[in-house]
Amino acid sequence: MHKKLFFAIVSVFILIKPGLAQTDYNNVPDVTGKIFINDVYLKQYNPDTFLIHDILIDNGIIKNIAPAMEAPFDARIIEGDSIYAYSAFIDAFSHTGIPQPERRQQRPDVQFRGFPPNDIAGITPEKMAFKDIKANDKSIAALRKSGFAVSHVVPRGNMLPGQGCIISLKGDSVEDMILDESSSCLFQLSGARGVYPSTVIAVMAKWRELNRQAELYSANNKSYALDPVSKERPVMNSVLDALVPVVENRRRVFSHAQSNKDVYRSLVLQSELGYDVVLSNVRRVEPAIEALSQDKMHIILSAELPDAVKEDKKKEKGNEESAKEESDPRREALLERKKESIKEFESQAALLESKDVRFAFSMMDVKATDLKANLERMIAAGLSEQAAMNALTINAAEILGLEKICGSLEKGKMANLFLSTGPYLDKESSIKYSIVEGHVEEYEIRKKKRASSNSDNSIEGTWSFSIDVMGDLNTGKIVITKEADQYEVNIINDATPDDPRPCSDISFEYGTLSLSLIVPYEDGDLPVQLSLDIDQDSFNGTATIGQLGSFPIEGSKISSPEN
Amino acid sequence: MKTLHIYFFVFFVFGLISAQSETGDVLIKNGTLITITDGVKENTDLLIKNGKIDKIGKNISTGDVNTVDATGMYVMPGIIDAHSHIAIDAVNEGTNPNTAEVWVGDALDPYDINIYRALAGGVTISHAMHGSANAIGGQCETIKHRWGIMNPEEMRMEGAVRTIKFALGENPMRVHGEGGRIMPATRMGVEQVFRNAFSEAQEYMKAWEDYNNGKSDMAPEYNIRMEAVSDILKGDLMIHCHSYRADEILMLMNVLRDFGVEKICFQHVNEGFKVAPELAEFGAYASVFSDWWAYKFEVYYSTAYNSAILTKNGVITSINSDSRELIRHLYHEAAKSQRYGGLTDNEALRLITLNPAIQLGIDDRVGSLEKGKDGDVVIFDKHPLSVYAIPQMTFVDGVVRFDINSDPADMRIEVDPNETMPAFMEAVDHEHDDSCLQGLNELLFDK
Repeated sequence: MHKKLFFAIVSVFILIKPGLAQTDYNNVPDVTGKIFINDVYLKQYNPDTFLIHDILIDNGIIKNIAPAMEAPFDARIIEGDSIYAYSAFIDAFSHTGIPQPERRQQRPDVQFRGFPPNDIAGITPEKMAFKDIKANDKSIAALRKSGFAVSHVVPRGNMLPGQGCIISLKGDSVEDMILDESSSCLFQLSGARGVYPSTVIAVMAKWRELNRQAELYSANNKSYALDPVSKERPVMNSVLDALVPVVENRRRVFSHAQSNKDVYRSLVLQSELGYDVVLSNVRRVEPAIEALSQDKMHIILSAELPDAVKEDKKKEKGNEESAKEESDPRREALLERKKESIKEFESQAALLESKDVRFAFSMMDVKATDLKANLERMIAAGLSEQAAMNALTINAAEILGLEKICGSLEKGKMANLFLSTGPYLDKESSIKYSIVEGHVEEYEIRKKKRASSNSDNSIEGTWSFSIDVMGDLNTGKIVITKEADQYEVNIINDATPDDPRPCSDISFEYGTLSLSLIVPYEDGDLPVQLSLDIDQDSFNGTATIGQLGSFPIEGSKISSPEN
Repeated sequence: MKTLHIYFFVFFVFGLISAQSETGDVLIKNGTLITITDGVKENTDLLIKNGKIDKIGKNISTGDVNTVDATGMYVMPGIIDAHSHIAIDAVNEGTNPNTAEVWVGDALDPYDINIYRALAGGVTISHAMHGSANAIGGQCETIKHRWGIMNPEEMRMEGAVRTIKFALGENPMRVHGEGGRIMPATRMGVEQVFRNAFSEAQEYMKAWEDYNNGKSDMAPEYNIRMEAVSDILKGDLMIHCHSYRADEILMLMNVLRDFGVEKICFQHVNEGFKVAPELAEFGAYASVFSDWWAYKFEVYYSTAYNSAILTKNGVITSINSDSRELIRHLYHEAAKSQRYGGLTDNEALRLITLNPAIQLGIDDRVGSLEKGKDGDVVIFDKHPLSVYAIPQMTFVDGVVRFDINSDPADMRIEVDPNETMPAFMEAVDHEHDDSCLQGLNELLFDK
């Protein structure tokens, strides 16, 4: 009896479940496919002048751009008053949407490391990057939020990881997003771990061998197709199959060439094998610039820059020992060379512009949120604003062969654009809407720290913190109170809850809370300086702990003052 | 207008990655010239024009050529190191006992500070070699120390003979036998790797010959490794073989006789003194250490008289560094052949100039001070075989690449913006390096 009841219940569930899925509430279509952006600033053919125009989007396409149009009755209207429209950016080279693989086991399990299977050797040119993309990967939304609408996504891996694809950064499934499922063949100079080809010399040799093998494979197949009588049947080879379009120059090779040496090695292969190579994620073009401009190469420059050298804060502390180090002329000279080196990285884009080399940007190694700051540094190093914007839009479109469908604000192109609260490159502006193929996403504009930080009671309360000091995770609470315009801060480590540590030298300016305290450490005490950037209910910052160094610290607000 | 034409012509000829390197003019006045091939000439001038030695004689006067006063100094041809691993990003592709297809010329590193340090020791050319992990290692590259250039293509010594590294004994046995559980686990196995490779290459060449002659319709599978081994059999690729023990040296010469390979340079050759007449009879070359041994079992039976014994037996012998530290004082290493073996000044200096040039197939271009040869020259303040000698200036193709008096302290070409410690502070100590096994830590020890 009981058994029967159980089965009845189970079968009801089995029946109901598919029924529930019939309406997908997570995937409600837009009410209208029409969007009308009213009176927005934009640049069209003249790069120097902003016009005030309306933009009409219909089903993902820019229907019209003109002044004083009439909004269709069924359009969603976005008031463009004092906001700026830009053609959305194109990321010319990255792993967007492909999650980081879990760490591989230490050593691949192969019988003979001289002849590993192709997937372990890193030779899988037949693999398609789009199969690794997860439509809900957060890197996609992050790029979109920074103004991007299209990515050229290449697979992860070693020597020949597979074929890149072009995706639109919006969609419910990967199929939805694909603009071109096979747009490129990725080549990298990195060897496989512990198996052939493990070094750059073997990678170069293997490339030459595969090239010749693919040519012969194609010739043999053609000969057999023409007349198979008395001929040995050519055996199918999926690696060579994928390389035939490459050697016949029907699929372009994107060579991952970060360093100057990688650039030259890629050029060797280009001239030896006759490929049309796009140098990708390049960080240094300068030594090879004459050759690159001579041959009208296409370059995908990395949008990443090395961190600026931090000016030593010790100077201000007046610590005698460090003051002595500072005045060491050899040390100064080394620091100077580092700074020069960073300047060289910053000036690569300007150099490409001055030599008239067409370039786009790769977002492979850079956080989307750092893009604008890096562009500012490149512009300070001589890149024109227009060239920076072109690299992110029309040049990228042309390098990827997408100029008919995107890369500029034009009638008939995909409705890929973003709306910014001011000219994009202004420090104070931020992106308010991103529109990818007509799908609108609106972002909350955070008030600038400068404005919010002066509101007095914003940081009072109890905050949590966590900091990893050389593998030792410390957590606890920061209690901030304020009396008569003076902050009081106590820090309580969870390990020693009965020993709250009072802080001194407390200041809170422009959203940054600075303070110092003494903490117990082994047999003595250590001075600690904290500098916390507070952003509403959370903070990030650094803790400088005695001579141990600086460590990142983060936390969030637990509660406001109890009164 | 004329220069413009020449400019375009150059680009057409050399194409995109033109490997055209800079040449210079210089007049070195009044030095003691150690010519190697034509005795020692005191108070003599040497004129280099467009990178080539143009004139040797007294009181040469030219227009406005850059002049260096070498009064009281010694001028000798740039030192040549026939065995080194500097300036390359990869030394060993240790994944297979035969990797004849790989080529360190694909991994040249113009930024390696050891190039500059070698120049400071008067070394203008080195033979950048593949390591000794594999019985048949990779192809090597002879490079000129044109410090300051950033295009790896410009480092190559154009016209040098193509060379390939072989290795006998413990290294390939350890890496593949012990480390990979495959042949060669013994010295017998090492021999068999060579015999197998040569036999397979003969079959490979035959298959292609048949296809090219129309005897078969379908192209055989292209194998770049067999292509390289075939080049050895055809005499287009010269073997430089890492070797220590006399029995193995004889073994390899027998293998080569069986397959008709005529040219070989043995490297290290610590027991070469035992088989010097046999080496001379074969026409084999030897490139040795002055007095470095006992760093593994097969390298105990050694003598500092090795270079002298080989020389006296008519074997063309050189002294090499195989080390980024030794490369800085090869003139000291050559001097040791006088202390042990009593070679003459000229015989001793030939060990680091003309003889290595012969072994690398570049003796028509470098290795001695002769009209028409490359302007690769080093100026010493004392006689180069004196223990007090210090190189003052080093020229490559007539261009000053080292100048002890005017080079700045930090000669690095590129600085890593994220470096925490300058790269040049890394320890340099050849006793603790086995540079022939570079890059193998992962294969050998990371299990």
